[in-house]
This record gives sequence, C-alpha cells and structure tokens, in this order.
Amino acid sequence: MKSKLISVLLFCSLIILLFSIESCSIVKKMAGADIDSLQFAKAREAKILEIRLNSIKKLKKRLENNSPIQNADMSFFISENVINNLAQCYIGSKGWLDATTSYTVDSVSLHILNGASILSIKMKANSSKFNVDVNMALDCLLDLEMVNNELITKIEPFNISPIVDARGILGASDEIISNLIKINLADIGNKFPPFKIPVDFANEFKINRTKTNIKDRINLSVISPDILLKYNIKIHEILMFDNRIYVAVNINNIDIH
Amino acid sequence: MKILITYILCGLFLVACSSMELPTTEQSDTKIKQFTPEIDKANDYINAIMAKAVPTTKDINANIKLATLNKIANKLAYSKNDDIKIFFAKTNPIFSEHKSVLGINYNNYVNIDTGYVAMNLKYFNFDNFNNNRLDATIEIEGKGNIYVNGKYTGVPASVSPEIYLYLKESIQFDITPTDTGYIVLKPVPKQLTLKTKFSVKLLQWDLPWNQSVNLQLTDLIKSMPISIAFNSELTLPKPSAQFGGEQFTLEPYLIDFKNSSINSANKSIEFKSFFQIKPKK
Repeated sequence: MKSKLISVLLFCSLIILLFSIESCSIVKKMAGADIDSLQFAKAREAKILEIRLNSIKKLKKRLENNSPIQNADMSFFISENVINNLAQCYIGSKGWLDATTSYTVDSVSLHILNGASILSIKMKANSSKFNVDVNMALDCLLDLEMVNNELITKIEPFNISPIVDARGILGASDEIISNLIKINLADIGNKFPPFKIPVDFANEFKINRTKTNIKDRINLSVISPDILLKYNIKIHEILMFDNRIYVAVNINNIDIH
Repeated sequence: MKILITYILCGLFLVACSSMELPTTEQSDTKIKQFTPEIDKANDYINAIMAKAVPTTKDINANIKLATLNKIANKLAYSKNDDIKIFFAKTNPIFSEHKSVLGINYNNYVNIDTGYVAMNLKYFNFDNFNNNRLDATIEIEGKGNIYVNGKYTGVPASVSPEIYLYLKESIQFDITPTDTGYIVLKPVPKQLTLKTKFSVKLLQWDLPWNQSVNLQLTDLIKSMPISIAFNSELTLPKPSAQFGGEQFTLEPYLIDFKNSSINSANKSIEFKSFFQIKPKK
C-alpha cells in the first residue's frame, strides 16, 4: 500500500514536472525571470511618473522663489535640436559589454520636458559566446540635479522592449532572457551610482599684439603685447523646460597672462 | 519518507524562487491616476511662466550681462602696470627758434632721440549698450624718460628729462557675432588725444612742453573676440569599437554656428544662432 502510494506520488510529480519544464515556469522561477509583462510595464510607468512628479515639483518651486532665472554672468537656452544633433553622433557607434558581447546603437533621440527628459534608444546586442541576438528599444527618464557643486544625472529606464533571438543551447530561453533584461535594466538605478558631470571648465581666449607707428608732432610707436585671458566657467544651474534646456554659468578666476 | 521530504523541500524551494517584488497592476494604476493630473497641473503653471520669457527662436540663445564684460575689462585694467609700451622715435626738431644777436643768426633747437614710457591701463569699463554699440571709458597714464639733444646759442647738449603721458576718453565698440562661437567687439574709429608733458632744461634754456599727440583708437585697440563659452570644437566620448584597452575614445567634432545675430538691450547682449555639428576630419 505504502509503495503504491509512493509510486502514484512519483508519477503525478513527474507529470507536473514535465508540464512545468515545457512551460519553463520552473526555469523562469529559478532564473529569477518570472514576471508578468503587464504588471511590470504598469509598475515602471508608475515609477517613472513618480520621478517626473518630483522633478517637476522641484522646477515649479524654483520658479516660485524670488531669484529670477537669468541671474548669472551668462545664461543659455539650448533647444532640443542641439541635444539631438549631439545624440545623432552616437548612431552607428559600436561598443563591447564584454569580450564576446558587442552592441551597436541604431538610434538615439531626446525629448525635453518640464523638469526631466526622455532619452529613447534602439540598439542591437550580440553574444557570440551564447549565440544570442537582442534587439532592444527602451526609453530612459533623465533627471539632472545640482547637488553640492556636482551635476548628478539619474537614469530610469522604462518601456523596455527586448526582442531576443536565442539559438543553440539557449534556443528555448527567449522569454527568460527578455525578462531578465527587463528586470536588470529596471534595477539599473540601484546597481550603478548616478553619473556625475563636472561643472567647472577652464577656458581662454587671446587678444593679439598690436604695433602702430605714429608720425605727429612727436614720432612714436605704440605697442600692446599679446594678452592671454584665462578664466573658469562654472555651471550655476541647469533647468529643463519643454523643448529646451536652460544653463546658467558664472565666470571666475580670471587671470591675465 | 526521505523521498517525500525531498519533494516537499523542492516545492518550498521553487515557491521561494521569485524574480522581483512588483506592486499589483491595481496599485500601479492608482498611482498613475494620482500622479498624472498633478504633473499636468504643474506643467500648466510652468508653461504659463515660460511663455512670458524670451522665446527661443534659434537653437542657441545666449545672454551675457554688461557686468560680465566688466569683470574681464576691470581685470585687464588692474592686472599690470605696463599694458601699453610707447617708444619714442627720432623727432627733429620738437622745438626750434631762430635768433639773431649782433647780426649773428643761429637756431636754438631740441630733438628727441629716443625714449620709453610704460603706460598703465588705469581704468577700462563698459558703460552702456546703445543700439548694438557698446559705450566704454578708458584711462591710460604712464611716466618714463626721453633722450633729447639740441643746441642753445650754438652750444650742443643732451639731457634725459622725465615725461608724463595721459589719456582719458569715451569710446565705442560695434558688436558683431561670428559663426565660430565668438562675439567681436570692434572699436569705432575715433581720434584720441594723448597728452604729453615734460620739461627740458638744456644748458640755460628752460623749455616746458605740454602738447597733445593725436592717435586713432583703432591704432591703440584692435578688435577683441570674446568667447560665448562655446568652443567651435567639441570632443565626445564614444564607446571603443575594439574590445580591450580604453572603454571610451574621444572623437573630435566641429560646431558650426549659422545665421548668428546680436541684440543688445537692458544691460545685456543677446546672441542667437543655429547650430550644426559635424565630425572633424
């Protein structure tokens, strides 16, 4: 009786195991890639809106204070077109994630909103070791903030859409790899520290030497030497508005050579 | 029994394997419905304020304050004491008089041989914008020595008196943009008066000298290009196409500023330009 019960249990377990392996649910669970796509997408959308709300509230508060925005030595409004011009330089760029995984950037564009920006990227990655191709499209919310004289850039990916083509030994793992990519990218803010951009730049320009001979009641030559003017430009503030970025800079440490 | 325990443990292990904690779809929807109108409201407020700001008609709108130009001008004035060097060239004569005593004619005269004065740019300030022209004031002064020779009552002599030079004038600059990220301050031609003062005592001849020398402003100050903080060259970090070594390489690009224009008002200059970037070959 006992041995019959054990046999039935074993048989049922075997059936369940076969179904599970076929649907990959065990492998998905074990790989940590068991997510519901709609639930994941909604969670990302809510997170992105929360970050956007915080950024736009900060911008609103900044505009409400008494200091006018053009209160620096030099200020610039730079249109979205300029940033996209710079972004276009990265199209076709090829890089390496590791010795056997390369990627190519297919397209890059930036849309500037009040308080934040959305960077849209399409790229292709290929792992020659595991024979996997990934076509990836994703959006990233970019947030810039001046903290303690450093410009901190935070990136939050969303709308992550990897299309995986796995061959060979990983041939049946497209969905698992796709989910793993989504999960890892969604967590990128915790895994990597925010980018810090320098805010202080050295600059210089030259006033050229002049020499003039004068013939008047007294003959004389007037000579002014070459002057090299060195100075530092320091970013005072960066604000993002619809379709444009505002940058305020101050000039200091002016030195004459 | 051992097999049963093994199965239970495997089941518990599989249940414990989870990928990431996610809020439910309903929880996310609630947040989305809460955040979206708040974002829209803040957007409306910000857009209303920014609609009153100067519209961005070109790719780059730069605003430079008059006070910023004076930061540079004042530094130029206070930096050193020999901003301009004046070398006196041979001038024959700077003064002469014809005399006749008991039927004997002779000339008393003074020539300048050489001389040097180091002039200090004592004051340089941009005062006002005026229809795309910039009013400014400069003050220059200096002392030095000149070497003179001459004859008095037929007797040759030479001395090296001290000479004092001074100039204070209001001047103007035309402001023009370039397509290389500079604005150029070009002096508007004007005749300046350099006051010279020295006293020659040649033997028994006391000769005070107080004359003005005419200079052209464009001889003293040439066009000054001022950077608007953008270099015409840019390097961008790009991923390295080869694995190993540096992860990023720096590639040079050229910036073209097109259709640049200048407008000056309210104690500041506004520079506007379109922008193009291309690889530097």
